[in-house]
Amino acid sequence: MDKKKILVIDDEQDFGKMVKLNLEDTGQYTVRIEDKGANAISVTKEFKPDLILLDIVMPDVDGGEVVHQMKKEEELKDIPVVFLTAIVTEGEVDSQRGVIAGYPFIAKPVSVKKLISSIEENLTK
Amino acid sequence: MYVNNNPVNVLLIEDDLRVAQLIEDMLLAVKDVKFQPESIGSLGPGLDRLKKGNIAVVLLDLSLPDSKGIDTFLKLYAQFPDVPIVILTGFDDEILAAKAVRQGAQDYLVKNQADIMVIGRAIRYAIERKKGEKELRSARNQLEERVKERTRELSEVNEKLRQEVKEHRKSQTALQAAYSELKEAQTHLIQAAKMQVVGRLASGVAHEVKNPLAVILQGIDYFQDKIDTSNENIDVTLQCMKKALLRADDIVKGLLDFASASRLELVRQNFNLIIRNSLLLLKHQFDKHKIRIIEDIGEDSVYVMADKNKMEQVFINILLNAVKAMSQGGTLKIKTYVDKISGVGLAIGSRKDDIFKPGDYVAVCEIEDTGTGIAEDILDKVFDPFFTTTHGSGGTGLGLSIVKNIVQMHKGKIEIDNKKDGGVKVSVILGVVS
Repeated sequence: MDKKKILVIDDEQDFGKMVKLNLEDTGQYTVRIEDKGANAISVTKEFKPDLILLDIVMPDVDGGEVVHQMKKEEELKDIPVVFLTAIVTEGEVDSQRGVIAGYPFIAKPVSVKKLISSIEENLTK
Repeated sequence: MYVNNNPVNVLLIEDDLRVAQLIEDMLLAVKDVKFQPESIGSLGPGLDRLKKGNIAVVLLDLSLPDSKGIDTFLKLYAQFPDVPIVILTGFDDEILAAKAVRQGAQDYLVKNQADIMVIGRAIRYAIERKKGEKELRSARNQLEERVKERTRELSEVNEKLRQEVKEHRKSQTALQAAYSELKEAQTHLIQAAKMQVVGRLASGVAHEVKNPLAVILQGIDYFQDKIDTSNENIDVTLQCMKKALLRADDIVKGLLDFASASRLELVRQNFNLIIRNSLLLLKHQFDKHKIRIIEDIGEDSVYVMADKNKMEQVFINILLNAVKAMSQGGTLKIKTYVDKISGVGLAIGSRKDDIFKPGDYVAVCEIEDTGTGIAEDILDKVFDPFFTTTHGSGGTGLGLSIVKNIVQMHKGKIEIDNKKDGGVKVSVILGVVS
């Protein structure tokens, strides 16, 4: 079975690194990390991920803007996106059934187990 | 002054007719005063005569057929204190006569010794003295009357003064009340300002803290997978790190909840339903801690403007505090009702509050537990952020501050107090909408 390609776009580089370590450690995923929102579109086009983990609050271009741009690109618009954020609580995520504005959400900090289950859930959608 | 034409009526009470006649004769012989004597032989008829009035003076023999001794005088004097009495006496009862004088008789005359001069003078003096006595008495009465009047005036002034003191005390109390109201408003303002700052800080802090926490959690998870966890020390260390991390995350979450109260979705909701839902969600907690629930929740729909999730969070938080206070079991009373805010002495709360106006209808939920209560010295701190009595056992110190923040964002009021018979009573009050 092919490994799934996961793109992590997060300005917190160490977080990207740790997620890459943990996900690739399972043998199920190939992970690429990108710490600049501005590079999101070009990296996505090049890497062609099966799913994007996208941080919302980033200093240059934020997650919302990244999604907005991707929606305009035919080849990118159907790639599942899971938002990562440190400014909503788990409670808020739960009350919205993990979806805000139509997108699935993960609240930081997140355990590896939860991260994987969320990735898997959204890959199959 | 007796030199005038008015006769002076003299009543002679004397049983010895001879003496009586003698004295009458003598009186009639007086030139400068016109005496008009009349004689009666015993006391009873004498008293009867006196009742008819118009007697200027009485000449009284003490030894009468129907009365003897000093009693004779006393009986007469008791009934006619204003009539001057001159005692007629024999040698043998001169001492008695003197005694009668001490008790109010005007004078005494010794029979057979008294000549016309003596009798006339005695009668005149008796009348004069009695008149003086009367004037004195009247003056004294007047004086007493004036004293009474002055006393009355004084006690009126006194009463007025007392009223003034009372008024003064009242206004002092009102001033005190106004002062505490002002102080409360000030506390409110400071609290509100604190909340605002905390709210603004929350998102920033959350972002800056949660990101590193996210890195650490991923790291711990990585180690747990990689390291030989059969080594118990390593396993315990990693577990402790993870627990500490989650605790830090809880604090930040609390801060976010706190800040998020400013983003409410207020919709018309059934107040009673929100409370029922909250109770339902905690049923297992009540069962687990053997807590008996006494529900007095109205069947009617009472509508309030509320964010259902946030309001449920409020009640769940309050109920969980009650559970914590009754971990060994107890009784939880939960009651709702609608009340009308009255003008003076609000039915709800002891202090005036500008949140609700007189005439407003409010929905009230009272939650009472039989737990440990709250120490009086910390009662006013329980709504402060980061104030907790459960350090190290999961309390972040944000629960009640968030609860208060949410209630205030609903333009409501929350009060917490110890009950007299132990335990705590929390009241949540929201304005009713139709």
